[in-house]
Amino acid sequence: MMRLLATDVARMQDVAAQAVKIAQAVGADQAVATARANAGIKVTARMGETDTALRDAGQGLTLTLYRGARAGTATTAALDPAAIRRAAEEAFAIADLVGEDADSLPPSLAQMAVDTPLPPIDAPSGRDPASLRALALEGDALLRGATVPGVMIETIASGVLSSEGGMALATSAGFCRGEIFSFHSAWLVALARDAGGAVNDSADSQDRRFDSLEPMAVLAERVIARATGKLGARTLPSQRCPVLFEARVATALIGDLVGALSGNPQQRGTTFLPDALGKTVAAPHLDLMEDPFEPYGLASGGFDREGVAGSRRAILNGGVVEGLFLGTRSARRLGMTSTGNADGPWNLRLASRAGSESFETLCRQMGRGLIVRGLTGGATDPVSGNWTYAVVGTWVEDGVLVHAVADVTVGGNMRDMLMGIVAVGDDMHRAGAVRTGSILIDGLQIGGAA
Amino acid sequence: MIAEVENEPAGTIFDIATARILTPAGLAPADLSRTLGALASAGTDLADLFFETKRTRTFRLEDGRVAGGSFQIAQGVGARSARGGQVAFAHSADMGAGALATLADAVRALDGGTGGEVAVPLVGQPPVHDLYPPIDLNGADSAAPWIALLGRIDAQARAVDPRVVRVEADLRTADQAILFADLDGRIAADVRPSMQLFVTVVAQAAGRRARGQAGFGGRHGAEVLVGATLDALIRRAVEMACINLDARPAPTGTMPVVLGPGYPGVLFHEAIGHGLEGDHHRKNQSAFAGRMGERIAAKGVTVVDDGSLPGRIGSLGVDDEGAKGARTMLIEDGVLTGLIQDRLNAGLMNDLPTGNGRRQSYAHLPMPRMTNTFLLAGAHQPGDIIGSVKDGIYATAFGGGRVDIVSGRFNFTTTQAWLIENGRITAPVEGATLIGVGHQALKHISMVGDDLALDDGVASCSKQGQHLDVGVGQPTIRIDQMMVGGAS
Repeated sequence: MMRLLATDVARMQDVAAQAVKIAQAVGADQAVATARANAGIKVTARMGETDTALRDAGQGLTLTLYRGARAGTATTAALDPAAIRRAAEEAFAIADLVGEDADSLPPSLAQMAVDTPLPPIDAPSGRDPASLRALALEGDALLRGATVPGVMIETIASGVLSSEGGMALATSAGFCRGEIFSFHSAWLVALARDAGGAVNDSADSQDRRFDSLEPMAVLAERVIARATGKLGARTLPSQRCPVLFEARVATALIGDLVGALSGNPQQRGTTFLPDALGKTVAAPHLDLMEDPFEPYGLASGGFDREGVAGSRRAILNGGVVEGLFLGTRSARRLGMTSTGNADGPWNLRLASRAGSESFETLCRQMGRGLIVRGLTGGATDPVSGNWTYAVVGTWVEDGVLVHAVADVTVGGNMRDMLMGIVAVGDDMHRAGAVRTGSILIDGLQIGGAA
Repeated sequence: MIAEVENEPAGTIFDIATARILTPAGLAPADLSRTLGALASAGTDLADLFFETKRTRTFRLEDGRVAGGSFQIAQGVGARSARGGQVAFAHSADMGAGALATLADAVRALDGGTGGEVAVPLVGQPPVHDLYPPIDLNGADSAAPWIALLGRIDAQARAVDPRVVRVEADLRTADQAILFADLDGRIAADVRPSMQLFVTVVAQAAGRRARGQAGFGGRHGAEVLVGATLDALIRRAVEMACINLDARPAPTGTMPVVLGPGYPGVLFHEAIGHGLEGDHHRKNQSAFAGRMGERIAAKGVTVVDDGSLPGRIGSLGVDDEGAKGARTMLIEDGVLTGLIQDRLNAGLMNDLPTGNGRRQSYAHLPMPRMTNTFLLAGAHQPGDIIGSVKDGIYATAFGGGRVDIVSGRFNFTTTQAWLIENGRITAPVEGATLIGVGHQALKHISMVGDDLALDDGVASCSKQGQHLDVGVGQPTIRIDQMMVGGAS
């Protein structure tokens, strides 16, 4: 198979191990080195032509060294021994300037993923620029050739990306392992124009296996439906009503929950769910499971950047928090051990014990309320949980779609929203680490102009 | 600081950039000429090389001590060629002569061109500027004053108010040197120091916690920050946290809004600036396309983008395509007048570049991007503006904003705001999201204050995944009706 990446695990491990030796030679008591490389081709098209064709190639080494309990970190793009030595000297100088922080020392070798299994995450596409260009042009042609009565469809972008990456971690404690991974993506951004104005929307597919990407025809159908569905949008009167978050929007709510349960906010108390472990923070029918080892999962991996493996486990069990997302430092500060989440969550899946219904069933269950199809801006306050966003969507009455909605806000507090989740749909959407169906929440504040 | 540079001979910045970029890589101008020739084939309208070295240092204050520090050295070269609007681009972290030849091959593999053998003479005179000095913020022994400054922040913040329970600070100093050469024989360079300090405070009272944040940034060294500037920065962060301890859910509905001076000018960045970027106009994707010359705001509303302000983090003496930073009129007395352009889009639209060709790094393509974008001052007293509102919102800080270019819909979310009742500022309110449509919202601006201020050097902007420092600003303004969305 043709590879875009100009290096391999063995060579990256060598670079990282060599950096650890150099750090020790410079005077470090302990050292941790991470070598990284990435390569990719991205092609976008519009108007029947290539818009941009990009060839990506990058590499880097990050070296953290310790003088006692004082740490310094340096990153270099050049990987020759002289450059690594310069980086080591910079890191050494920084360690001299900062205060002690014993919690920041690396984990012991016993805690590290020395011989744990590595999930399969590498599937290079073997595609050259010409074949990626052909796919991007196909997506563009599908959009430009679409016929929707009274609506002009234009391509903003039709894109295809094929990429590969790798990392290797070496520590002075004797850890030295690496992983190579692939990531591919196809996306369409379409503009829909009618007499009332123009709107746009996107559809995308991401996978570690190129052949598992959704076909352009499927993406085209989805993005055209999304964009034309936004035309003729109007605002709503301010009111309190149920809100159905479409699955791809619901992933953002899970993202806010992940943030609140992460190590740094937990140990600093800068979270809307303080001391969350063992507490009921979400509706009692909800389970959130984490799995680092799913084959070709977008957030699968054998270990985090500290060399600690994750585990298959429950984050929420019947609405009760059973797990936090901890790296070594935040775990020590909480009197716990790392959960292997120094890079964030592994693959997550939200499920309801009440069963999952189709999106249409959830619309009927909602009866009268708002489907949120996009968050166009806004903020979640990580400390207070205050949640206000500008949204676009569709107004529903008697379970039936009535009209597109824009120029409204939805407001609430994440604590109430998590407890207020009534149902989860079976229309699973995956965005990075998070998989969830649509989420129905009772009683949020709609802000409108009328 | 600026005066120092004015007295140095022209070409100093160019010489420093050459010494940081070309000399270590063993490159001479002839290598650039040859590579540009190899990028150009029949029908090539534009080809360029962008070299960059960037050193970034960060320090973090937590629990009263400077607990973490990092140093990053990034370097590389990006090569672009374009036929009409079709762009091929590749980049390399290796800047040697051999790597440049490989890079030209990679670009040709993308665009299917054959490449030329004729070297491109670099005949242009590098532009000079005195907007900021080519100082090295990350040189030997340069960290000590920053560390000393960080070390004071925790105790000082706690001294401002006993309700403060956590203090964190993040400092970033960066030195970027760039060198640009293109098919027209243009050559240009810049040396750009920058620093940013953010202070985050958590206050607690009666079982409730709230956060406040303030920052300061610019193209200068630590000495600018010491003393009153740092004191004010810490006080702003503490005050925001303490005010938000008492905040109640924000009201919801259409109401008059008064926006304070400085950062709230992000309104114009979102509502106006993005919609006037040349790429969106060339592709007919902006809600403002076809509206040039149209009145979209009341008389007295004048908005500019100005990359030529001394010392600002959003300023560029020379942009990333060798064009000098300049002032571009976007809205003049209420009428849409100008676009923000880079070379590619200006060329395709028969327009001129405006000094707004910017890129996150050598590994990213340049695009039309804002520099410092702000509303010019009017004649009203800020107190009179607040006094004119019966029931509304007064907001002085925002957590950023977003815009949908195609529809013109924008929004931004408050981090510090109060109710106005009968012309007086009363209870603080939690984050509220304000929304509007660019070509409609500005018609409701009825009062413009005389207190123009730019933000504190903390604004940043993301476009198509590329992140850049920018400036925003405005005087106090009154907007007669705006949609405010809160949780009550």
